[in-house]
Amino acid sequence: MPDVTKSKTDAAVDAIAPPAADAAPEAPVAKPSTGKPRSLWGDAWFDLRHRPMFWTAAVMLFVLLVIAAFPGLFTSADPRAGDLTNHYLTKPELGHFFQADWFGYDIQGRSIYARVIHGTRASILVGVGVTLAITLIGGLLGLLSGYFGGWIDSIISRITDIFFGLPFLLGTMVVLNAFTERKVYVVIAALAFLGWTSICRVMRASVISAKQADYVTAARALGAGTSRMIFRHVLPNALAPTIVVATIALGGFISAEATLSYLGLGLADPTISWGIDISAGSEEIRNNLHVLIFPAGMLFLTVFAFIMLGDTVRDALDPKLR
Amino acid sequence: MTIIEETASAPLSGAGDSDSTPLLEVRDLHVEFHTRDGVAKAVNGVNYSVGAGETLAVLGESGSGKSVTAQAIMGILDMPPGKIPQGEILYRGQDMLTMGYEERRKIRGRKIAMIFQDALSSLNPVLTVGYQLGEMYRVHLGLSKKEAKAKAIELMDKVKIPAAAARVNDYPHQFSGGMRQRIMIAMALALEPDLIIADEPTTALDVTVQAQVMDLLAELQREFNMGLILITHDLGVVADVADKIAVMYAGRIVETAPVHEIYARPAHPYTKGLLESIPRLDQKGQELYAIKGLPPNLLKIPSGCAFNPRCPMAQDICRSEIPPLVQVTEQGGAELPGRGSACHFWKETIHG
Amino acid sequence: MAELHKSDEAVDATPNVTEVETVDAASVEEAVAAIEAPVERGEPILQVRNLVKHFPLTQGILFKRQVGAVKAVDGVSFDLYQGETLGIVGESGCGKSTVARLLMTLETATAGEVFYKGQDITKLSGRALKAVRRNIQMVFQDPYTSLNPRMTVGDIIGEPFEIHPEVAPKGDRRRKVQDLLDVVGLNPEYINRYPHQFSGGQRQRIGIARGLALNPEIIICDEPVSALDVSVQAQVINLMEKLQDEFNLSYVFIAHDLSIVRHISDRVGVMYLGKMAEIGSDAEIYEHPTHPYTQALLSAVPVPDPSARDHRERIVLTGDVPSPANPPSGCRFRTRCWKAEEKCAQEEPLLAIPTRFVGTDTPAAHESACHFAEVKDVVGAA
Repeated sequence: MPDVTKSKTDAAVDAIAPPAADAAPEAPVAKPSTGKPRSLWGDAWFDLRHRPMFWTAAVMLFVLLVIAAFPGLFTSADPRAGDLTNHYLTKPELGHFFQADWFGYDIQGRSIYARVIHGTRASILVGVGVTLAITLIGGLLGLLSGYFGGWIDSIISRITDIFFGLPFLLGTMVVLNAFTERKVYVVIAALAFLGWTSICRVMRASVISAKQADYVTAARALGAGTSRMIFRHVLPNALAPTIVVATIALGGFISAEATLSYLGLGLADPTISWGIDISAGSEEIRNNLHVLIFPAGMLFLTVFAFIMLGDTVRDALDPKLR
Repeated sequence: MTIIEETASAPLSGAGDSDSTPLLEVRDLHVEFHTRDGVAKAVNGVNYSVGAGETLAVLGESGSGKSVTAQAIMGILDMPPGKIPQGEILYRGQDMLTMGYEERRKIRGRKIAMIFQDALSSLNPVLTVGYQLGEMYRVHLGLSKKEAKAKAIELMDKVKIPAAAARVNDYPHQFSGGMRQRIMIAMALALEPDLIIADEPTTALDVTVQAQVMDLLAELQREFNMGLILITHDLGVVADVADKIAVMYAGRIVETAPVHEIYARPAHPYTKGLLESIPRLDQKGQELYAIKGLPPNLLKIPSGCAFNPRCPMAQDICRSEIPPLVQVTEQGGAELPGRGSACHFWKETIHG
Repeated sequence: MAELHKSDEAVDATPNVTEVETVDAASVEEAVAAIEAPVERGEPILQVRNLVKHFPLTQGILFKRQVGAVKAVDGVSFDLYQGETLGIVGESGCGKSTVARLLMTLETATAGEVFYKGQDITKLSGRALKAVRRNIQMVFQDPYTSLNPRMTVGDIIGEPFEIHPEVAPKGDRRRKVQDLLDVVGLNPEYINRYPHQFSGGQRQRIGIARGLALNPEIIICDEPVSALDVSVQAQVINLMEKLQDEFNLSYVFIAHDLSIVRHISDRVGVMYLGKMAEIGSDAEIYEHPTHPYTQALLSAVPVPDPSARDHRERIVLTGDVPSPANPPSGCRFRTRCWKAEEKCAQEEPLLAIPTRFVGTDTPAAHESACHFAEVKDVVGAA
């Protein structure tokens, strides 16, 4: 027997659970309680609100965003001030919450706690910045390519293929090598330069499928213009997969920044970055693990929170699971 | 007043092959789905039985529970979200819901086979038709590849696929819709089952092809003396092939009857409304009779008779008491064999 | 209802194809004026002439070359009269839905003309085309995909007014939308809900309300009830008939369900492989079909009457519909026809009243594209 059970029962569940059917005027049935307007975004939000995983991720990210915006709230220690005489590789004092010596000191006598706090901004900035950039570039190209098709699609698709063919990290390293002063925006630009392709492909595919829906044909039959078709009908219905891919990719870009900084090709002193600290810490991996473990743990938590958010958002937006 | 639901669940002596045991019997089956918005009660106490060589048509609209019942029989319900809180599904007197996995597996697929509406998505697109047909023989009977292929050609001949030997190595997409449905039928027939469940087997097909496929199914049923459960929403298809009919609404059987009688004298307002609401090919009527309102929301099935908000005959009792499926009688009191109606006012419905 | 069927006689007497009085509009204003002009009941409002749509089959990725064409619609002509319902039936792949899309100018015709009040709409563009679109609306088959899931019902039904702002001033629109909901039998309070909160039948009513918004003259219905439950189908059919009377609409009703088409149509055309096989009044087609395909189609429809099971003659066709990319020569139906002879392979039968019936006063005297047309009552209604 071929495997048909899945789709069949899905259909059955759809059939037995009609969408909040309410009374036609000829049937005097009481108004249902679920009668208030509920958009699909509203449904997704309803879904998200009922997932503990979403709230875990949301709380973690909120704290991280506050740290990134106001690091001074969390530590008064100067992350760049080293005191080699007193603090050279001092071990952490785990009881000293929020103190400069909480996580110990690094090889230059700087407070690791302060550096972890101050490094948050760079990571979050890079992650969010690259994601915004690729969503704009990739989304726009995917939209054009999917909606107009024909030669526009051919050209954009071939360009996407070429960029897709370039190895992401290697390519970014080559690009970064061209810059001597590697500020945050340079790293964002370099990562976005090669990172937009998957968003473009996802957007193109969902635009093509949204474009074929009957309601788009209906709008065309009414005489709707291109901008109305795109912004009223196609884009809102093609956005969900792009949002999901973007959220999940965000964590990846934070890792990528750390990797580049670790290799000495990303952010560089005096910018504070977890990647730089991990790089420094890795030299002490045998004797002073604490130098490595705190920036690495922070990086892990941040990436984990973003990926968890992406996962829950995908579950909430994926129409197949409803 | 005899309540059929009770007679139907009378104890069966000596489960086995005795002649009185029907091939398949469903007793007081309940199925529910746990969804985000609540519990959808898809099947609420269904009883029916099929004997060898008999065709039972289960008629109903979407959400009536007709397909879910079949899926429960075949064991292809997704559980969760599906759940069978009570009921029995007896194959030759043995309850399939309580038997072991291996035992059940031997019945499903081999003794009871199913045909689906959408033949294209039911066939694996990357395997040849011959391979998929032969798979049944290789897996269940342990035949060699060569023997299985010969058997596959034989089957394709049986379902009247022209040039079977030449087409055995074709892929599903190379066949037309009607031919693919024939392949599905061939696959269901492969292990010579006792019972076939056909879920809307011709709904996706064109009218002229529909007739061919229905004829084939009826012919094969006679040849192998199989039981057939035909699940459909089409009153026309039912009239052409069924022996007896069970009409479902909101997860219950609301009327059962031999095919000839139900069209002449329906005993449930829902059946009556359905019959009056379909336009006829051979007469041009005035305005169509339309059943008012909407099919019920299974999350909130109306109290009492589920049909009461749409029923022209509804009284207070219909809103408070669930009508049992009772024996339908002639005006004089003579029982009409095989006829039952779950309506408080079946007398008024059938006898005017 | 009753009024609708009175017009039967008038329509019966008129031939399928009448002469086209073209309007040569010198300017856009004239064209729009011609489009806005009213048409008398029983006069042709839409005239389709030799309509052809071929979808090219191409090969190659960069340098595409045409290797053939799917002849979806291959020379179809008919008239739609004001106030009538013209049913078009046929099996999947016969081109009936492509005809609908061509009438809606959603596809560009490969050849042929569609005259709307004397203007060939296949050649219109800009403002004139927009005026045509206001007057020809469509109801779709699938109520689940034809409404934008991210728009409220009010926005969906109100969208026609945003695209054609001249029809209703801004302040008026909300009330108009509520009126439309009321007209199609939905509670006007539902205006802020989303489509997924409705059942299939209700969604189809929303689709009909959107079609009515601009007060069109013609509605093209592409299988409007085939996705609905049986008990809901009758509601929607009755609604459409009521609206036709109320708003003086002309319908092109495309469906595969012959019973429903008979119920709603004044005239019926039967399509097979991109061509019109037979066309005539509903009684002519259903009670006196002369084309073998129509006869086979009608005889295959299951009749909800088990007593008819034994004495009904059923013509079971062999084989499947040939591919529209490579249709048979001569008569397209000959590969499945039990009457086919040498002549059928060589000579294409034209859609005309068969010569033996010309001048006779029988119901058989309607247009049929068969060399060997003869009456056969397969439905058993006469």
